[in-house]
Amino acid sequence: MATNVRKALSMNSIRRITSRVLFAVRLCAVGYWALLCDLPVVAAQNTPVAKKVVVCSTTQIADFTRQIVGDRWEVISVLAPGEDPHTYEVGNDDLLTVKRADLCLENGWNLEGHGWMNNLAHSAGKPIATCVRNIRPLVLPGQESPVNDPHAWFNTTNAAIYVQNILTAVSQTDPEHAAEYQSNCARYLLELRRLDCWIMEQVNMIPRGRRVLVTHHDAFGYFSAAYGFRAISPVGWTTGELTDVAVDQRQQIINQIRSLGVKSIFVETSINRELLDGIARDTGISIGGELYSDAMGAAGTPGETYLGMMQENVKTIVKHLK
Amino acid sequence: MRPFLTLAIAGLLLGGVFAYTRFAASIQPVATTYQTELATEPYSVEIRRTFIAAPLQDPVGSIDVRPETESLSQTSVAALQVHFKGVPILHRSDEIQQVEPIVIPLLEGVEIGDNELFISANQKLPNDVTFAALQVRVLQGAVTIAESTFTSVRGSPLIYGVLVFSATPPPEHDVHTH
Repeated sequence: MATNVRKALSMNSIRRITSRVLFAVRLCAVGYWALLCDLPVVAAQNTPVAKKVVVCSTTQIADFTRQIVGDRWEVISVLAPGEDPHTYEVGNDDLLTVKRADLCLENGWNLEGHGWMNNLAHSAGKPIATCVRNIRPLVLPGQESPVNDPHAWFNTTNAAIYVQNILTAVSQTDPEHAAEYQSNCARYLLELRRLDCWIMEQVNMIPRGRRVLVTHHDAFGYFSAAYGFRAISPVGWTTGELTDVAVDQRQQIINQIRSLGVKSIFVETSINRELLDGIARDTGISIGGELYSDAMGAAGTPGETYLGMMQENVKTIVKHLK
Repeated sequence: MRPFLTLAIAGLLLGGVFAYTRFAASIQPVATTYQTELATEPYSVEIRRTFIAAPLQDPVGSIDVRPETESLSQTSVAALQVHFKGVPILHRSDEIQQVEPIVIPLLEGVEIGDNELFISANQKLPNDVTFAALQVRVLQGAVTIAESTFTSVRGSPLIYGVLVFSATPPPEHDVHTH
């Protein structure tokens, strides 16, 4: 009897243990299955979402674009700070960069000599937007026919149009975040307005009769028209066509400088200063300093952004002409 | 004979170059000066807050606008400022009442030719108002010779602009002999 009881007890305990083990195994299996099901979700959460890529021809356009898209896009400028867009020669690396792009942005009006940005985008089969669209051009006499001056960003009102053209292009490419881009754009437009106000206040220190801006090439036409300057330059609208100027043209500039009583002339950061050094020597006036023209400054300098570049230029001009 | 001739020609060439460089160096650059003539006629300025526009259907409350002077510290404008030749000639910190004109009775230092006033204002706007405007006039005696209206934009109370006016020399009196 006692033996039977012991057997029954041991059988019961074996069943209990077996059922517990089975329960534990089932629990583990369910947990493991749940974990397996969850794994792809976790993996997807950890994988970085690929950013859209915008490739801009110039540093100014890249800065405007960054103000709108923030960190949501990767913004690449083909030109490095200080490089001249008129004479830039495209390399294989540029084509590889553009092949990664979801969107390309160019200035237009042939700032990019021989349309190199447009050619790159078409070679890579990428969409391209032109930033000077809807800007009223300043028309310059050309050798064969009149040309539109491409340096339109030097008028802050035009810069606002650049920004809105960029907003349209990025919003069409990434409509999901269009509201965010719109908000960033509105904020930046107010900063451009404050910049415009600040420039007017600073320039007011220079008597209007003294507002003559002599630079290497015709990059400051829009700036001059907006803030009451007269722009003079020995080289035309592009640095690519001419490396030197004719003797009579040079003499004409010297005569203008003398007759207008110009105090200082200005070299440009992206262009060789030899020609203007010679003119300064011949006229007996000083070089007022360096202005950012076709390219902005390197990282860490005041000219790194459009707002900083414009402020630095205005400070230099006012300091030497007032 | 030939060596002497060669030396003579070389000497002539070098002498010519030397003489030219001496001559070029002797030419002094002509220093130029900017000359101005002050106008003798009396000029004055009038400023009015002209109108406040009706609120728009879609106010900009949703846009995150940073303070006015985050990056451009010098654009911290007063309620109203007028600069002439870079010098503030009017600075008011109170709100401009509508219609009541502010007058600068005598604008000093006006030059014959083009002159420029810079006007900036930071007018408080009621919550439901989106922009305001200032009308600025320059008068020569009692005659308005330049006038412009500057407005703020949606989302910013900043009003600014330049008003260019031209001062002419007084007409010479004809001497009539009767």
